[in-house]
Amino acid sequence: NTHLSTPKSRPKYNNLTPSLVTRNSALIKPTTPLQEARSKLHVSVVPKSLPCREEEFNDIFTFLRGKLEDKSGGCIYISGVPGTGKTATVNEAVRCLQKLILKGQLDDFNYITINGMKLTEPRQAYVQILKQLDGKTATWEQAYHTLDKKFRSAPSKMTLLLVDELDLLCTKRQDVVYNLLDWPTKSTAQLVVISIANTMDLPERVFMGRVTSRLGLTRLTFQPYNYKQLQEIVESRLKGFDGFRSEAIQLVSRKVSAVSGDARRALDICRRAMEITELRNGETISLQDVSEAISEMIASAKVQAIKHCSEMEKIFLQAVSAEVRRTSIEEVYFKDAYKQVESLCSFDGIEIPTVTEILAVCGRLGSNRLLICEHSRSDIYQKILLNVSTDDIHYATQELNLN
Amino acid sequence: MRSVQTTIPFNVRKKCSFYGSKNNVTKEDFSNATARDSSCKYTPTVKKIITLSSSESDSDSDIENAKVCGNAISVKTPQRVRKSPESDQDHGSTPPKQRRTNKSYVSTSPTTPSTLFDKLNLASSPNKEERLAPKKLFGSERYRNARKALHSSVPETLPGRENELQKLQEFMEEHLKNETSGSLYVSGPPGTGKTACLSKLILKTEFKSKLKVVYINCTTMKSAATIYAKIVQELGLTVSKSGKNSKAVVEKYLSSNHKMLLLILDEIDQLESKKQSVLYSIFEWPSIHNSKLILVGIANALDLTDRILPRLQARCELKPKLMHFSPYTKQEICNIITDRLNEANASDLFTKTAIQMLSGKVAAVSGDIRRALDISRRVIEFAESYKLAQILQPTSNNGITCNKKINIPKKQQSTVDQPVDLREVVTVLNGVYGGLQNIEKEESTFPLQQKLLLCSFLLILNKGRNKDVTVGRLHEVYKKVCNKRNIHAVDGSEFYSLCSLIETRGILKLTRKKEPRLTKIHLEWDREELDAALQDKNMMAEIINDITCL
Repeated sequence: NTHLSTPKSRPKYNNLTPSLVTRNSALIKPTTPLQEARSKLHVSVVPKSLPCREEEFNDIFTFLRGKLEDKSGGCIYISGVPGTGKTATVNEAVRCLQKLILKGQLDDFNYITINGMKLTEPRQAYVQILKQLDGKTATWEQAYHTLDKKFRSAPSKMTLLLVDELDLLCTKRQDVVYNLLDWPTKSTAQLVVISIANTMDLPERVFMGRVTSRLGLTRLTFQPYNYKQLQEIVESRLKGFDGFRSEAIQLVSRKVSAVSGDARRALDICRRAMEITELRNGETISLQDVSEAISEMIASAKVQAIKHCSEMEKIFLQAVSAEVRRTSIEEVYFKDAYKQVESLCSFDGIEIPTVTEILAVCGRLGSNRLLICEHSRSDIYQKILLNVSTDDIHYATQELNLN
Repeated sequence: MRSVQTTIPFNVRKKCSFYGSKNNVTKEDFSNATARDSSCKYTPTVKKIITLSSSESDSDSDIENAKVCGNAISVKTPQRVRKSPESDQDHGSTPPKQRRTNKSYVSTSPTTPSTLFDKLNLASSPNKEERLAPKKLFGSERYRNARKALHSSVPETLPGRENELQKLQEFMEEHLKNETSGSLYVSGPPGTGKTACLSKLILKTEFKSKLKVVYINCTTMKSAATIYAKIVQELGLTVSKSGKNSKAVVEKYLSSNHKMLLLILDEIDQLESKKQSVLYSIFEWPSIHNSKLILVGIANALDLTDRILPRLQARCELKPKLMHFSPYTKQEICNIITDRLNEANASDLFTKTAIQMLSGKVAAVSGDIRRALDISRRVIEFAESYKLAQILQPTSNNGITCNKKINIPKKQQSTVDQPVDLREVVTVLNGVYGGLQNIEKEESTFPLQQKLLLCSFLLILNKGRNKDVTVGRLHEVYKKVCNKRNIHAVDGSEFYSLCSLIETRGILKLTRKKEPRLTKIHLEWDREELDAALQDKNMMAEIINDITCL
């Protein structure tokens, strides 16, 4: 590691690419077929062609290709809940377009991606775009002016701009979104903006009229995967590995599709199931492993938390729920709850704890979010709200009594 | 050696991935299949067919996958190979930059018989040129022209805006002739051609010679006060470095002897500031003696000057002239679209009724020409893809195994030569605004738990006493519903994320509080309609009418 120069002059070099320290030893290869299959199931391994998203792919591909061939600008808005393959599909479409360039069927174009989540501030979008276009770094104002000049005087190449998490670029004035969507309407700017967000009605809900008008009506919604599609996705990734029973895959996909239809979730559960199988030194993933993984990842932890509370904490929870039932108002004053604690304790023949003790109990329960409490400085007049349902408390504490 | 390494894997991967997973046919079969009658235009659809058909048969796609995921695994080998020529790198392990090219090479070479792929690649490369040729067979030029003509950039003519243009021109000419200053405020909803009209005017030669034009879009300003610096910059005046006195510089310029100045401020409502000092001072400029300034402000709000600049009313000479751009009427939209299509020689792409309906719909909602153009462009794209699908369909039938996904939407064989009709227009409109239609159509993709949540919500709204629904309360009802039907109910935190997932569909609106449990839920869609849509299903209807769960 030789120091080439003093640190101050470093940033000037644009030709220095940032690099990370490399590992000293090579990574361990996955040895068993189980491990290999597990690495294939990782969310980061994006397959070359996405199963079950052919129609959306075609839509995006033909749209982009049409724009690129026409040399005209345009916008498309893609929405859908997380984990439905929006970004992956767009990237795949662009990859295919780039292959067409290599074949000489399409003119060269720039591809730029920005992600609203990765920007510290919406205006940094200009900086990022310029950086990816020219490799220059500038302040956002300079970057904006350079870009504006570029898009107003016909640039040589088409530019595809992918804006991920568009909703985060919204400010009160919405100037960034306005500018990003206004450039494509210029006849000189050969810019195609692909914007991605989760909310289906974001343009109507958040944007001003003039931004919505520029965004246009070319919209595409990615529906959540249904269980067949999730099954197909998992199976396509596990091709060549027969240790995963198809019933098990079906269970995963049915469970996930019933809740959210998120492909990432399904893949995560499958991988967790494989880990569980590995732990018990199994070869094939059984239904039991899968249901264990599901219960780990979906099932509630609150009942468990209540079960593991101390005796007095349980009594306090019961007291609060009793008070809720008595007054049928959700909010309970601490002093009323304490009265309930007193009576509960005298029923069970336990020594009645002091108010201070119960306040400490209340604070503990509040800190692990079983209760929602006000600040403890209001003392016995603080209001308490149950953060779990009364059924859960009943269920969890009843088992204790049986033991 | 490295050049060889970089070229080979590129070709191999391109081949495999673009046509989906290649089935293990010999190269003659493959080239025939693609060269038969699919032009390069339809490659994505071709891809789809092949991927679908070969998804059952195992192919090299999983090998590819393994390569991708196992890239860290194969790092070890190239490291040793390369260490001998480049031993000057004493970092201990692989340098990060060159890794990628080598890796892909190394990872492809052991698994695939490279010679076969080499041959395949060479043999199929002439095919690409062959496939290029039939591209124009299907008249895609026409579609392209139509699409280009419908782009929302500023056109040469502005049909339907003759009156406004006339008025604007008169206003300018009057001030030009008398060398007096004046101010004008142009209002109108988005997409009514305000900016287009003005930018068309300033291109006219008679104005160009006599006027100095400054056009500024105010959305780009960092804050309201920076507008002065921008004007100074546009005027080409010199200013001190700090930029503090730009306002004074502009005013000095205005009172000095200069050419007639036309200052157009687009989206002027972005200049709102405390006490509106910026807007006031700008609108007071025309009253400066001998300023020779024509000020034009553009914004959406009809009464911007009255609402936020009431002091201007006090002095008659300051009062800006108002001009309103009304939304386009149905007939105007209709004319614009037909004109543009005629220009592109593509008037037969649309039926008359389709244009009528489209413009009627748009005029009823907003009269926004951008929207109308966008819909029509979209419709043409749809029509084009329909047409492509039909031409391609024989291939999918005789070529490889027929798949159902293509056949379903493209059964209208008769539309090959028909222009776009009402159906496409309706499809486009419903795709964007038809929320309820979508939920009915895609019920298979709407997750069950979310449906249960909605039903419980409707139950509370319909039958409950307290219509103020929080997440906590909804969760309790939902749990009861689930228990009754023996469905596994999701946990509180999961339930909250379900609520926000439904929110992204636009059905609900959550007003977030610090605690998720206290978050309030409101229904965004019409309750009766949603009710009716969900009651179609047996179970949902039962839930909605089940009072005992409350």
